[in-house]
Amino acid sequence: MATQENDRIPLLQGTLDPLILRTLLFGAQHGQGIARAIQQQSQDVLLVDHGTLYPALQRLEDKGWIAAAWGVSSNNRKARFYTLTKPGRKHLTQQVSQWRRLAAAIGRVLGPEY
Amino acid sequence: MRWRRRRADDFRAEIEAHLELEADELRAEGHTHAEHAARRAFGNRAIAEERFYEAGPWMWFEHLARDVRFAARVLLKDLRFSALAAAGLALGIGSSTAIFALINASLAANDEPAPYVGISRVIDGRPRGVFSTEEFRRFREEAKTLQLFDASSGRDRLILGPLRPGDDADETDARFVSAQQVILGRGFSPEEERPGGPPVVQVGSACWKARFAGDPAVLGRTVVLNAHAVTIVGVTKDRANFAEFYLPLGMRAVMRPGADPDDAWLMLGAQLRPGVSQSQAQAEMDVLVRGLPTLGRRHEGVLVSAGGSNPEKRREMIAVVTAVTLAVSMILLIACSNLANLLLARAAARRREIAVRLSLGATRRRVVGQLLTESLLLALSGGALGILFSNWLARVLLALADPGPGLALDLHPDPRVLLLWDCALVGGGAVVRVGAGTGSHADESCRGAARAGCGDQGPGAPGNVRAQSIGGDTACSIADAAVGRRNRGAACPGHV
Repeated sequence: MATQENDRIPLLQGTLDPLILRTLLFGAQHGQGIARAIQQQSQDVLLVDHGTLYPALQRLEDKGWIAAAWGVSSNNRKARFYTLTKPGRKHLTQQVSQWRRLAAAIGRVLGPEY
Repeated sequence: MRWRRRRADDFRAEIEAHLELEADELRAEGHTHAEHAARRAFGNRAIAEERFYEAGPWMWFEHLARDVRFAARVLLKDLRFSALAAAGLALGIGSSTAIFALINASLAANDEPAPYVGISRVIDGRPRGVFSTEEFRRFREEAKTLQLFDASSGRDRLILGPLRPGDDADETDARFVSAQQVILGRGFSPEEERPGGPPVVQVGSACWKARFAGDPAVLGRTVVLNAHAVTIVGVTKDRANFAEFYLPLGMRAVMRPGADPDDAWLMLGAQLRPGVSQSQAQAEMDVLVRGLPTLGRRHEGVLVSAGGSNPEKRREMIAVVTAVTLAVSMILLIACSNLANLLLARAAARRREIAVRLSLGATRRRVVGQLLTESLLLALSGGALGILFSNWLARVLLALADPGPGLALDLHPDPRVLLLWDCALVGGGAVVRVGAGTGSHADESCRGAARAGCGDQGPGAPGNVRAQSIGGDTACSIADAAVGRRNRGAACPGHV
């Protein structure tokens, strides 16, 4: 792994949901795949706690934003695959714009990087 | 329950699948102990499973079931307290329900549809005629379907002699009536109703206040009406079209010497006997009228018309009901405040238990829920006793009041009574709980020492410091948990 454990940032509360939804935008994926995808896309900066990922997936499923079905992974193992639903897609667009605004605002407050 | 188990198994299988997938990937990346690394990366499986379980909708039932079980055990542990509390609540709830049941039953008994009827002679096809004294007597004696006949003349102008020496005579008005509701003194006797009977009079209440200054000593006084001395025997309630004085029917011959005794001059009203319909009364009156001498009058029969329920009585009833209900609610309130005191005393003794629960990780919501379940259970047992007690109390009260044979009240449980019982129960429970809650806030001053332990440590402070803060934490939490306050900072400054 390119990054040291200490350089990783644990996810802020409330950030996991949009990340999961965003990952599923590219197609069905299982939990382990989602965790890997988030880590890779954040260039190993974001640390997804596997233990919290599955209850979060369950929560999203309960809300109807994602749907799940058992299937077989590329390396021929049984896995539960998640897909984004229509309400989930809508929720994701809202969340993304909200996060962008929040991030921009925090960036402005913190000022330019020295 | 089956559904729940399946879901949990499914979740466990998913975690298993994750670990295998992760191990595969780690192995591909060149890890030697891939399974172990995957497990380590996942962390505590039990916590994940627990979080999954707790997020489910079944948690609510499980918490409730546990709370009920625990509350039952707590209440059974201190039987003396529970019995006292339940008995207090039973008394409060029982008495208010009993009174309400009585009121409800008496309202139902009084709510007969339109028991009052007007009786009028039909002339030229229109019901506008009046009756003679003789006709009125015959109706009153012979009618089987009607009761409480009531006759009244139109208003007569009379001269009232000076009430005080030196006063002038004044003009006044009077009606000749068979019966009036009195608020003081008595009604007319049968002799007084007959011509040549004792000269008596009743005063209307407005006149009593205006001319006699509301003096109760007015009874037995003599006044002069149309130069005849009459004795005041009662003060009557004023109703629509009231007059200043009311004279018995027999006084007409004295007051109006020229009047024909067979004259038709009385307006009649009556009440349907229980179980009699208006058309039955009409049929009987038709028969009665046919047997009467017409005395040369045009005679087309009589009409019995609905007079509606007695609005006067209704208004009176509502006033009484309001007063009694208020009084009874006070009883319930007193019972609740007593119970709140009991609970407050016990809350002090239970600080330790709540402290242990909180330090073991119980959320405020759970503690409040458990306390609420306890009071609900207490209220339920009190309410169950109360409803037994109320049934008994209603019967005893009814026996004591001795309503006479005419008034048979149906005291069987009525949905409305049960609804009130429910309201009393929930209201009682809430009052008790809030009372105990605010009470423990007032008690806060005694806990200054405990609160000193709060310091600046947050909930995440290391073990021994955490243990120290439990005392203060609890001291604040009993009060807060009981009233469901979220803002702990306000009650315990410095403790985040």
